Amino acid sequence: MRLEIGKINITDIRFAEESKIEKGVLFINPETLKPVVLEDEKIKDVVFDIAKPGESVRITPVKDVIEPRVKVEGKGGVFPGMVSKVETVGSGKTLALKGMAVVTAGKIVGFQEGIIDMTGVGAQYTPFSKTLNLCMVCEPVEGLKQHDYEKAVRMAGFRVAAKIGELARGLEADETCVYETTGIKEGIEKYPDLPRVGYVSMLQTQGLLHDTYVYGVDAKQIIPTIISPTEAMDGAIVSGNCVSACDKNPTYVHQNNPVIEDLFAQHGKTLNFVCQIITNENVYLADKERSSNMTAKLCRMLDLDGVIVTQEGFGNPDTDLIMNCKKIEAEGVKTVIVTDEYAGRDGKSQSLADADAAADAVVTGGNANEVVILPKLDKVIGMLDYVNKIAGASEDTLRADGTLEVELQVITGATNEMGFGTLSAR
Amino acid sequence: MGYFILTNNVQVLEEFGSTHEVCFVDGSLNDVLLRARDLINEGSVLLVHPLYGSVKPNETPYRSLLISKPACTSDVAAADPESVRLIGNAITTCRKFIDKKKITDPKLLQDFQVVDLSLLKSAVASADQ
Repeated sequence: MRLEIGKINITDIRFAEESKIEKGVLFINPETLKPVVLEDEKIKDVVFDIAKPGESVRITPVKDVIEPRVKVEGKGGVFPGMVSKVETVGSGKTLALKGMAVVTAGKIVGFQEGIIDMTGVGAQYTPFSKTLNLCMVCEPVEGLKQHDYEKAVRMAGFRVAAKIGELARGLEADETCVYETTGIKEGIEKYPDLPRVGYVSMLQTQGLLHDTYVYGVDAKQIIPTIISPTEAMDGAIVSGNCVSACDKNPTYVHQNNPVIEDLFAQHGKTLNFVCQIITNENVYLADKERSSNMTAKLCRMLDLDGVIVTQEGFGNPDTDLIMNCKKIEAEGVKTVIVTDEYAGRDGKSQSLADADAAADAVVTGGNANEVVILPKLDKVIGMLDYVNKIAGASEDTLRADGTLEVELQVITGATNEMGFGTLSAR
Repeated sequence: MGYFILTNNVQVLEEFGSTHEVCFVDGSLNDVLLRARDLINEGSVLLVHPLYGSVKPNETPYRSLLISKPACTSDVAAADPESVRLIGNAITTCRKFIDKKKITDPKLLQDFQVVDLSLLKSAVASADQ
């Protein structure tokens, strides 16, 4: 499959009468976006706001982060199975609004974390302090259940991102990147001497606030399968996961998966990037056994030489990660696993809840228990009502001077397990 | 395989009490894990991961586990090694999270119960297929 991503660089977002993109500036009339959100009768009201890099703004609790895109050539539309029909995507041409994101926020449950600081120490830890953020805080109708509220906010985010993406239709891209995968036979013939490498992408799939959707299907109900990595770029995989802010994969990260980007960069040079294998992280142990068995079998059937495995979350997924690693290695396929760590505030505890000698090549996204002091910022988009109750916080979090003492785990994307971050060791 | 639900979450008891066997623990998340450990030592098998969910163990007060009923012939020597390993790791992992003050806000407690119930429901759906 061949996909062109045309990048439209957005350099500013401003509220205006007419919604349009002109000379890199996104003009938005929030009144025209409101009906897109309020078409769902479960949402009573929505407030749009803009947060720019360097501003003294804190966005919380963040639910999802989405990059607006529009499909201009080829089959299907963005976010298939969610806001477009379930046509197979990943080929043709897609325009992406770079440098900006739609950020959904709302207190679905009282302990929901997810902080994006646009300045200060916290900004260094979240990749979304570098994007111009169009924030939408959704207020539910009275008495709405948590499940319904989660779904309403999730879907509203996709609708708004798709609506904004449409503004790019007809524009010239500032830069175009081409991503192309081959068929199995063609790849072997084209790159006979290059190692065959796959990407095993583990999706968070446990229940309310812990779900991922593939072409609209709740991924806990799938058995592992192969997809073209270009499908993810068109939004075939979207996030319904908003707990464990530091190591969840917002939709934006699925659209801009750095493992896929890096494998494509080496495709045809040092390796043959064969495909993406998607699998899940269910709660039920027999599901874990079945999915890891199937994943290892697919790696063998595709005659892969090596795979990169990324996980999402902590604890329960560590077991899936190690099961996948052990079983894939047992098939004679080399693995590199990507995770983060919960090694305690002093960094001295066991990092993962599971381990095995087969996991001898590990990339870490950082220690989620590391403590940081976030400064008091001038403006909050969303609410700080329950900041003492969220993971990585405590009753001492909100200090008298307005600063926050928290662990990295409260910060959206701080220790991302696809490597979508900037933490490194010196 | 016959199983029962071990839980300290009252919403799980209300949801499944009339259709499934529920063993209610009037205690903490740690008490549920310790009770599970004892049952595993007596021959029961863990059917779900004890660290399910991204809500951290020092945050949510609730835990609900699916556990198989022990075989009649089971004894300590026959304890399922994988279950022993998982529950042991879970108890150790929970100890490393810092203690927080007990949550008393009823709305917040209810939210924790709802999420715990949702995650358990996904396991029950798999178990009952």
